[in-house]
Amino acid sequence: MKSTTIYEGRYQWLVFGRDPEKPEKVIDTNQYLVKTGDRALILDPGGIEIFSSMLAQTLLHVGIDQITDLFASHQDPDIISSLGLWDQALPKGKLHAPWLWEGFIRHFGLEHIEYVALPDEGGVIDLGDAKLQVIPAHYLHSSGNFHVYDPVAKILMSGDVGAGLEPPGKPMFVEDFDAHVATMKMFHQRWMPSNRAKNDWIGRVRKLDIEMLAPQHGRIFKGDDVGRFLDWFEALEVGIAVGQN
Amino acid sequence: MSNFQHRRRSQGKVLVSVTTIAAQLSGVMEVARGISLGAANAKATSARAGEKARGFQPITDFIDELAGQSISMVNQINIEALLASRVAIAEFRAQEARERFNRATLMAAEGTQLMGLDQQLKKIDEVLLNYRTEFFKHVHALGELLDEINNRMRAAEAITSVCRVEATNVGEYRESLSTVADDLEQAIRVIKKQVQNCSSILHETVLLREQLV
Repeated sequence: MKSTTIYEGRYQWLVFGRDPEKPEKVIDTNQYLVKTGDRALILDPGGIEIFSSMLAQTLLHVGIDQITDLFASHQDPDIISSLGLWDQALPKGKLHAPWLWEGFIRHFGLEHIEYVALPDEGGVIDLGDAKLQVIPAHYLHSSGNFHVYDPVAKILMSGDVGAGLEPPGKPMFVEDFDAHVATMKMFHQRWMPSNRAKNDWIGRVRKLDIEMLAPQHGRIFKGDDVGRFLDWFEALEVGIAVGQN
Repeated sequence: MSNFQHRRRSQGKVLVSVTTIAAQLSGVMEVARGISLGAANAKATSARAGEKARGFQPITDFIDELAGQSISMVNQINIEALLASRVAIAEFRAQEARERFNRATLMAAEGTQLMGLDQQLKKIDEVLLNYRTEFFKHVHALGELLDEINNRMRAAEAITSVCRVEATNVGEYRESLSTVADDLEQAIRVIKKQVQNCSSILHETVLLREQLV
């Protein structure tokens, strides 16, 4: 699994992905690690199938005792089905996840880790040096869904929003926005159910100062491409499967 | 098939067979309820027969007690089977985690150390050992309960003979009280067969589980 540092300041942001060990038909995912002096948060830790690669990569950067927090943007298996394994791995820890999904996510196995139920309006994940804002993204695509914004690093971890589906081994960053649109179009039109929810989220996100928009699949948007993405997404009709049959 | 896959499959089998025991014994519960009902009918018949059926009353009490004890033991077996199954699930998960911790170690480049993983591997081995001990404790309790039901059934078999003898002394009630003995005999046969099935499943489970140690 490839690891790339995407922010280096008083603390670090890293992205793990492009796992060559991953079974072919399992969708490729990006996992994010925020590492402060004595704590670490993993954002959308991923599915069971990539757990070993993910654990190996993570422990090259932080000690197991240092991993204190996990965040699940929503309940999907590619986001958090590894929870039962993290639960065995982490001596102590908190999982920050939507309140709406608590009873469902617990099916993945949760004995030791504490479930911190995020209210609909979001909140803050306080890692000491890093104070991360939890931004509501309900119905994008899940009915209880959050993104994480770091006002210092100016990174928005945007879950499935901004996701692109590409063959394995592609670069970590968007290089040509117009060419990249083809990898995102169907994903957003089919997985995102609500134009109203989409526009509500865009309105909220446009108020944030974002340098990097970091989705859970595909490439990360940097600089002007963030605005380009928001404009493209705003104009896109989503929820297209309704009435197709 | 890799060792990991083989172990996973065997653990899956252990999990299923220990859970099957509870399902198998649901039949015993029904039969025991039938015995209880038969005992109540026999009590009513012997009351009607009056003095002639005096020797029959302790028998009906025994049958009633037997039915109650069988129901209670089946309930205990269900609880033990459920606990054993829960431990097997927890162990399965811990084992999955252990396998994946191992894989993570293999994935790390030579010379690099995965921070804190050694310690976590030790911890998980301790956890697995505890689960193993706990699993065999529940399996042992299950075995004892199954033996206990078997012993009760042997005692009940002796009672059916007494029941037949006593039935000969009750004149016109003979037929209905003989039927009680027949029903009891039939119920004992069914229970013994199901308990025997469960004991075989338990035996196979233990063998399968021991191979995993």
